[in-house]
Amino acid sequence: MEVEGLSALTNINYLDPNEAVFATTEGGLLSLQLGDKYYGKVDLYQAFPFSLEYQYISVRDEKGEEIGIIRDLTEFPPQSQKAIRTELSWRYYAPRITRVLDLKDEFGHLYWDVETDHGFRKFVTRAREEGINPIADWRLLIIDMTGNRYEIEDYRRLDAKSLRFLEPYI
Amino acid sequence: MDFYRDIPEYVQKAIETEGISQEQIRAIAHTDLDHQGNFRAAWHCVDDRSIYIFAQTKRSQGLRKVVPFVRRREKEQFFAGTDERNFTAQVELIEKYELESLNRVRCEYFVGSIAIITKIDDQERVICRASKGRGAELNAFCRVVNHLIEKSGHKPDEDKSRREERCPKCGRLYPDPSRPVCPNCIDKRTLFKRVLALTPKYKGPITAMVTIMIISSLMGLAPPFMSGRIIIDEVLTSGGKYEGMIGQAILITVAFSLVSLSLGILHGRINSAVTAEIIYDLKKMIFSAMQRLSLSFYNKRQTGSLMNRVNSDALDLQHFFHDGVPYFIVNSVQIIGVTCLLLFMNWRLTLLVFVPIPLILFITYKVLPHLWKLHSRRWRTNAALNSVVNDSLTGIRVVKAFGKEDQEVERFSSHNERVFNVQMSIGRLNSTVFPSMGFIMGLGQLIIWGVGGWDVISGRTTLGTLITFTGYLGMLYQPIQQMTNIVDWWSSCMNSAQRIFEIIDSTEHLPYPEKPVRMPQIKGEVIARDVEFSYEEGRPVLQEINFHVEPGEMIGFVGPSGAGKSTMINLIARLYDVDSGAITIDGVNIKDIAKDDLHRQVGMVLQETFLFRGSIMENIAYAKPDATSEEIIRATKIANAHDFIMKLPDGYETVIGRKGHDLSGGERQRLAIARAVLLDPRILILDEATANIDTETEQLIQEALEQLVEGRTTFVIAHRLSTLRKANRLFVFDEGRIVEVGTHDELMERKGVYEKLFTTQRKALEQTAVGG
Repeated sequence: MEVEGLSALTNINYLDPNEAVFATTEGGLLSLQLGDKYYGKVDLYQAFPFSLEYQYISVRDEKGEEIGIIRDLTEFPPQSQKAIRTELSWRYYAPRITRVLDLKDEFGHLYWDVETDHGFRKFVTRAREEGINPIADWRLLIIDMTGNRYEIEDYRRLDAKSLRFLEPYI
Repeated sequence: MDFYRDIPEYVQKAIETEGISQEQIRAIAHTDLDHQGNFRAAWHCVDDRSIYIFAQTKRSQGLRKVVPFVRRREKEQFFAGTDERNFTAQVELIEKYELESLNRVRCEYFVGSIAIITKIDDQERVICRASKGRGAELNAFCRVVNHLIEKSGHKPDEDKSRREERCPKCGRLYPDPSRPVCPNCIDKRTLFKRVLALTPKYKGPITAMVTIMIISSLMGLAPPFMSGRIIIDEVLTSGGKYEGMIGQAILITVAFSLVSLSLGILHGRINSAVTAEIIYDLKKMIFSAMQRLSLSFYNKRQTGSLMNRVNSDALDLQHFFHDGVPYFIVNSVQIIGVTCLLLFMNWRLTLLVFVPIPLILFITYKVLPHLWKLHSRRWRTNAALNSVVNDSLTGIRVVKAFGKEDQEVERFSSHNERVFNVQMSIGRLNSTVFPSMGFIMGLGQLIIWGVGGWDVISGRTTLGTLITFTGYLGMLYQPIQQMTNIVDWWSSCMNSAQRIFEIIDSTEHLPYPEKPVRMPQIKGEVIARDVEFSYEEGRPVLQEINFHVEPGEMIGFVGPSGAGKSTMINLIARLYDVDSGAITIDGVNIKDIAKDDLHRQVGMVLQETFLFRGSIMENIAYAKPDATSEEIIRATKIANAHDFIMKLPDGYETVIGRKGHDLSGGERQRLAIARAVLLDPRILILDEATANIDTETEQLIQEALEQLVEGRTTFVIAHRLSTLRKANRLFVFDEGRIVEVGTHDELMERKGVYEKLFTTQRKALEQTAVGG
């Protein structure tokens, strides 16, 4: 008995792309039809949010219990994929910074004024390593004082002026 | 309504246009994201019947070119989160929800955003989305809405969560929206003035020092004049005013030099003394500021970088005071003095002297900012390197256990390499810039020799004047070059000052009221009302905690790890402040109780016993330094620690802690208990150690605890549920809530969480017993 219980705990339960159907509900949430079981709202958790965004995504019910794991999003049919991507974009909401308009270092904080793919935005981060996190070679995750996230996908591709603002901090 | 005033006028107008009067509105929340994830402002109002959502509807032109205009507008009206570069200042009613049709609303926190979710016709629905800073406000809004939907329960506290996001003076965002402190406006004086202001008591010596410096640098102007104009033109030239008086001329020069020298010595002595004292004061100030900061400050920062701060930043400031300021004064006097003298002697040549200066300044302003950045990078990489060393030495057991020494060396090397690279860049830049400057200055010298020499030949000027000129040249260019060093010093010093003030200014300490409630004798009634707490916004650790504990009661906190038990005791001892709700002792909110009254009467025995370096006696008397030897012995006897202490070589004076005598876990625990006994608190908090302790020691600790809890209100977190058999009541924690309350027997009967926990533990014990 004990041993079986243990293996149930350690087994990874991958969701079958043909069996699990995800959809965005009218209310703007993610639903899952798994065989004949329907979940009106499921939550997604990335296991490796920086390096494997679309792999090993844990799907959990409202109580936080794991229903299963999406091994690789691309194995799923397009409609499910779209719904999952939408939900992920909310859960891990992080506008992409396309331009740095101003960046001032004052009193131990950085004052940012940026343009993102979702519009203009001003925010404040703690100076340097506490606000700017390199998550891959050229990729930066910027977390402001209140926990909002912004991403710079590849800072080498920013325009010269933006880069000049950013350069001292990377 | 207070909250109504805080919203922009155009929103107020839109609300009125819809026929909703101010008085009807119960709460307003502001959000900044639309359903597509774009930054778009919306205001959510709730009255007794509906929720109304007003949102911006018209897209703006984007970035306005006229920056000053934008800046000005920003100061006047830039409301929280509304950036009019995205959408214009125009709102319309876009959605309306009847409260009747809604189930409860709740705030859900994601990694990068927040949503208010409700249920309509049995289907979950997102009402609105917002960025993370808005959590407190949205939560308060949800509380009001739920109150209106349920039409029951007590009214939620007044919405105090709404705060300005920007400084009303300069329009800057507050770094931390939960703390309306604008670092720009709080420091009216510049950093430098603040640094000087740290030292008001040294006004006398500093004034004396500055005066001496000015006099001695003015005197320094004499020698070139003497050797050129006087000795060559007047003494050695026939027909000169002082022809042949060479002895006198030399004597005067020597006298000047001697006075100059003694002034220099005097200055150096005062300077060293004053600087040392200033730095001593500064370090003390930083350290006491650090002690004041709340635990949450430390949770967020690396210790390495903090240690670096106290030492290296203070050192930087020391250099600045000791070398930077005197250089600055001497050099400015020299530059001004020399320029005046040169103009007086020959204005034409003087103008030529200034030819290379633009070039020097150009280098200063183009290249030195780069150097400044590199310096700040060097500081950062060094801090990171220190952290690595610290990490790997603290965790040396883990490193050894997994045999990862090489990996650690590699980790160190990669950081070390970064430091090396920055150092190299600084060195490269330094060794390019400063020699180049020297060369440029040499050019200046040549120009003067050329043009001045021609003048001497053609008789327009005297040889003495030319010699004096070239003598002064060095005294002009050199200070200018050194002034560029000063810029560098200045910036690195201001960098340090900024970091130091960040700590001194940090408001991350618990606020204490100006007029605290004195409570010399606490009875021990503890009440928690609607307590909520999270270390990180959006991850509530405790929710809806309500309890009433009578004086003298013993309460056990049980539950799985991570359920919030330790957090609860931290809140009772006020190591952190609750996010909402309140904890009261004898009816007084603990936020209002005088600090020393609270900490004197709320004692904690923590899971991890930290012993300071020092004798056992000092460690026990930590919370009560004036305890007598007899009191200490009595306390250790109660704690069952007396016997093992007596067996130590130096008894109560055995030195423990780093490099001292090693104590076992059980012994440490009993010392901690003795510490608490000595303090004799009215409210006692025990976090039972999980460490493996043998049965006999456990018995000893158990006895000690039983003696300790008598007659006090006690909260115990017990991992061995058997510890709690004497508790009056048990509070069962699960996922941040108290799910069950009752005595052991009552809870066993309920067959809930506690019963499960107890049975599992007993089974585990039985199994170990059999297995062992």
